[in-house]
Amino acid sequence: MNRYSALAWASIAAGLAFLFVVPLLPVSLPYFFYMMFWITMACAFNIIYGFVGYLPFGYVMFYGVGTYVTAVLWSRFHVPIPAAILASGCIGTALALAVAPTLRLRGIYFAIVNFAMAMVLRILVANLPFEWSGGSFGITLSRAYRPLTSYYFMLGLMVLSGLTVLWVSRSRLGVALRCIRDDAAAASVLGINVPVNRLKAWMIAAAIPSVAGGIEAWFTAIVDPATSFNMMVTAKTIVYAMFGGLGTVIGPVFGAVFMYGLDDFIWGRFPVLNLLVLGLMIVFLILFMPRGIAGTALRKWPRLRQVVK
Amino acid sequence: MAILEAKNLTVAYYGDIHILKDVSFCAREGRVTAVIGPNGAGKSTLLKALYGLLKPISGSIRLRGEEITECKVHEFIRMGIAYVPQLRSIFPELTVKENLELGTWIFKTDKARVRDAIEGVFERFPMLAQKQGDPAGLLSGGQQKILEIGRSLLTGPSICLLDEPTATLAPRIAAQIYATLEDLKSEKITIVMVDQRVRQAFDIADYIYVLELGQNKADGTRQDFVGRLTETIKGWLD
Ligand SMILES: Nc1ncnc2c1ncn2[C@@H]1O[C@H](COP(=O)(O)OP(=O)(O)O)[C@@H](O)[C@H]1O
Ligand SMILES: [Mg+2]
Repeated sequence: MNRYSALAWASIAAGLAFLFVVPLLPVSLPYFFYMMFWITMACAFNIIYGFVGYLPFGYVMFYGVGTYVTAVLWSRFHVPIPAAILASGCIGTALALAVAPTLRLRGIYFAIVNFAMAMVLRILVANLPFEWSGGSFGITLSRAYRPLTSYYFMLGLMVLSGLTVLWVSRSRLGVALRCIRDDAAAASVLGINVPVNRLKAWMIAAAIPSVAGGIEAWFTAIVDPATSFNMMVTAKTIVYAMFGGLGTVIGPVFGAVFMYGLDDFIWGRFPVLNLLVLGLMIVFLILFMPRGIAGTALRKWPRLRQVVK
Repeated sequence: MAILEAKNLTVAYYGDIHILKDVSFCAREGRVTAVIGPNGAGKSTLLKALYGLLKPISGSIRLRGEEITECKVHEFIRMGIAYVPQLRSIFPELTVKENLELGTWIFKTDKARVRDAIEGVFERFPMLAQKQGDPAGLLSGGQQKILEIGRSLLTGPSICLLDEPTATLAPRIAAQIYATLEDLKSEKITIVMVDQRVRQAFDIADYIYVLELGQNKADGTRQDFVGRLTETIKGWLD
């Protein structure tokens, strides 16, 4: 471990310690809850886009399904919240498995089909029997409302997803995924089972936002189709992860913290123009820093590799 | 003895545009089999089909008499068949050494085996040992091809499919690659190669297939073609 990695680990530990005591401090709990939520989303998204190169435009669907599974199980079937959140993860992963055949599509075709699926799911959920999903009004979970406990659940999930990315990055799975991203045919000739490895990444990338959805439903104590299947969730996840640097471990974490902070700031100052400002930032990002902060830094200072990757 | 055999292959990339039509092919154990033909004849397509990268519409592929038509691409290296595609298949951002390590994927985490295999390739190609720390993308075209050939030999294959290993290379490097192929031949490795350099292919090959417009045009040993070679390749642009 060199100086840089020691420094990186120390800052991560300090950040975690801070997040741990946030509920005791006179700061906004939702602000930090959502910061952890976006870190989690960006890390999970990194596994499928950063490592495998598949861009799911309908990524929101896993989060959306996660919110609804927890809400429906708790409110209609009296399943305890932690079990319902676990079920969110399982059903989100099952959904990923069900749509796995679309992984055969490449590039923009995959992205578009995935986007369409998220829209279909939104309509399906909104049209579930009213006594299940509450139609477009959604479901309230006010009797389950425990902001503190759900805050710590999100903290736990964030740590778990960070560790998952770290593990993927350093494991044989990560090597296989990067090869597949760079040249799938060459990877298969080397003996790498492309469909199976890709599927593993896809299922991990789906499980995490599904659980995050369950926890977020608990935190806000309300779910409705417009929020659960809001395409902005996908857009923000992409931008935050890209800004930090896809394909690196630390990049999406950094990107989410920074961009979420900026986003929040812009929302506060420019309530009308915030989307325009966000849009301009995306353009700037793609034009000048397609590799994100971490990717650009890595190019300049390759020695950072141990810290970033 | 036939080791890798294809019978009546019909292959398409899209729908019913048949690129190979009823093509048969046989590689004999320990021999060099060359596939020649004009550009677009379907030579690369034949190798892709033999390696499971394209599933034939009809026909069958057998390895030592066993049906392998339905095998997945990633299984071929485990069956002792290596393949060096025509287009670049190295990972340019990784170093030469890292590219070689990827070539030992099927050894999993058996570090000793990986190291021995890579040492073996370094002995065969000292240039790769010298450049082991360089990004593979910085090597010259010929060096990259040697890296690909070296990588394909790491797992000790008994059959090696090579698609135009010398095309676009300077004559000196091409000569080095032909010398390597001679070595492999003396090591009893079965070689299937596609080659545009018809004369060189004839020098090294024990058996030759001529493809034209996705069909078998002729095949035979070098002797079979004596006197007919010029006639066979007449009209090709090579
Ligand atoms: N990936 C592909 N998709 C569609 N058609 C292809 C593809 N690759 C090759 N072809 C077509 O198949 C025919 C044979 O190509 P190929 O096997 O590469 O020829 P050769 O290697 O003999 O020059 C050509 O007409 C070519 O246009
Ligand atoms: Mg070819």
